[in-house]
Amino acid sequence: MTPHGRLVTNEGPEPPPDAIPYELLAQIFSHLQSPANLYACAHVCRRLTLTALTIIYYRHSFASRDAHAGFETDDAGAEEDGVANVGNVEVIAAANPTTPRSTFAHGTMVRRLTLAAEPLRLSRKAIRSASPAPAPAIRLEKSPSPDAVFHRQKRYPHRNPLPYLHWPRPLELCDLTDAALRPVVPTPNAPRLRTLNLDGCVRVADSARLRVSVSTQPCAESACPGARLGRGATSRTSHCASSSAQSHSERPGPTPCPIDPPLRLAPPPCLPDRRRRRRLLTFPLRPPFTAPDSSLLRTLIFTRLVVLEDPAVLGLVTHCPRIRTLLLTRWGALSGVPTMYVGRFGKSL
Amino acid sequence: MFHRANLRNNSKNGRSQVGQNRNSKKKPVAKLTLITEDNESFTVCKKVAEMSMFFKNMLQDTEGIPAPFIVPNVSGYDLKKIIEYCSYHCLDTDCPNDNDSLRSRRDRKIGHWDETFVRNIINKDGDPVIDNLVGLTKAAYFLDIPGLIWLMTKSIANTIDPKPIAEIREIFNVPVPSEREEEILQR
Repeated sequence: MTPHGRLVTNEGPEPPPDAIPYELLAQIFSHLQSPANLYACAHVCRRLTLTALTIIYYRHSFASRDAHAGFETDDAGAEEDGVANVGNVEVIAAANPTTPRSTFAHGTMVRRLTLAAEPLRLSRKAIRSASPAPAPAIRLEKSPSPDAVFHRQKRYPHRNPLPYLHWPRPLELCDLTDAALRPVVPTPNAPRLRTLNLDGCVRVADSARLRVSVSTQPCAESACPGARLGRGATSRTSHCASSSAQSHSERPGPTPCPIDPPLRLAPPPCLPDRRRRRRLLTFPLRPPFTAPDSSLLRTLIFTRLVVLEDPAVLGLVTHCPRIRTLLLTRWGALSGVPTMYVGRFGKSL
Repeated sequence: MFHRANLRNNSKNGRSQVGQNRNSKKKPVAKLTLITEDNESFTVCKKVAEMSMFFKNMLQDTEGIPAPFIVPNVSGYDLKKIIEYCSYHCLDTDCPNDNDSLRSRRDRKIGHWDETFVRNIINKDGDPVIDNLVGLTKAAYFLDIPGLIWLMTKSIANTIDPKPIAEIREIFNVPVPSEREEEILQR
């Protein structure tokens, strides 16, 4: 009993006499495979919400590929992009090349999506809204659990927006192509991409990795805050078991691109299995940072990086003079040249 | 077709005659008279009626055939369709009619006959499809026929599967909520 003398019950609202009973509603909803339909039913009325939400939360995982393929968007345009616009929030979803996936209509309710059916490919459509999204923060990650997890988080609504991509699952095949990263070009009204964590990315296209922060058109594009991803000559792929980069940069002014396009990259090794791929790691000439101006880069974390080639160290030292934190926990060999170069950072490192 | 039908009738008659000769003392088939809420009466045999747990329990409790039984909350059309379903499935062993076996065979598909059955509901006089489906579901729920409930709920789920919210509202006959209610739902 409440203080006002009302009886508190956990049951739902009293159904009208001609309404379908709760048990029947539960049975009907139990036949719905797609969570999108369940969410649609949950938005009809309170009675249906009570029934549908029970089933939604009962199904704790969306691991089935078929269930995920049923996700649909509201309008045709969004469907093409693989993006659902709900209010002011855009939700992105990892998309599989064979089975195009998109988010379901009520993306605001999404907190966690498990995409465990198979290794994921981060497509261009999937990332398109990552940076220009009006949401304060978007997190796309694959969790350390066997399932790949897609997180979307809202944080710091009153602060400067900090969208970031996070991909920390190690040794899980993820293709991050240049075309995929190209849409992360921010618009003037959109928050810029501050952090790109590709910790678990095994396969990253060279140009995507290298040009993540390189502004190819210094005059107009660099004035726009954020990362500019050029689409240059894309050599096929080089492999890194993990390469993560975090950049905490201040808002830069319109500066020309400080980095020239990469000259030559390590040849892509033929790696039949994951173990071998992990051993034979190469690192590009320049780190995959995302700051619009690499000279502002302060932190680089390569926790699972095994091989860091000398030219890469040279590039790091040359182009990232303000680096303060360099984390290389699994760095296997350290030759004299990189030591010398890294030593130039001095006490500030 | 005509010959076949005649043959069937003859064979049936022959069988029945033989059966009557053999079991001349056999009890007549028990039948149950049902009267719907709109005063339509139906006569069904006991076996068909026992597909419904409601009637089955009632018959067990009364230990016999009661007088014409008034079935509230069920219209004549619904009861007709229910009888049609039960008469087909009363001898069907593949189609489970208890909740446990239905749960265990969750991934089963709608059979051919059932599909036609549902399609006939849909095509009835051009009436709104979903109203008939919902009405029949409620009637099946009232009479407690698990197999039919499964079929109807599955059909409704298939109907509402790709529909937006507004159409689902129409299907379930839910009035459009006020702005405040909608805000609460969105939350």
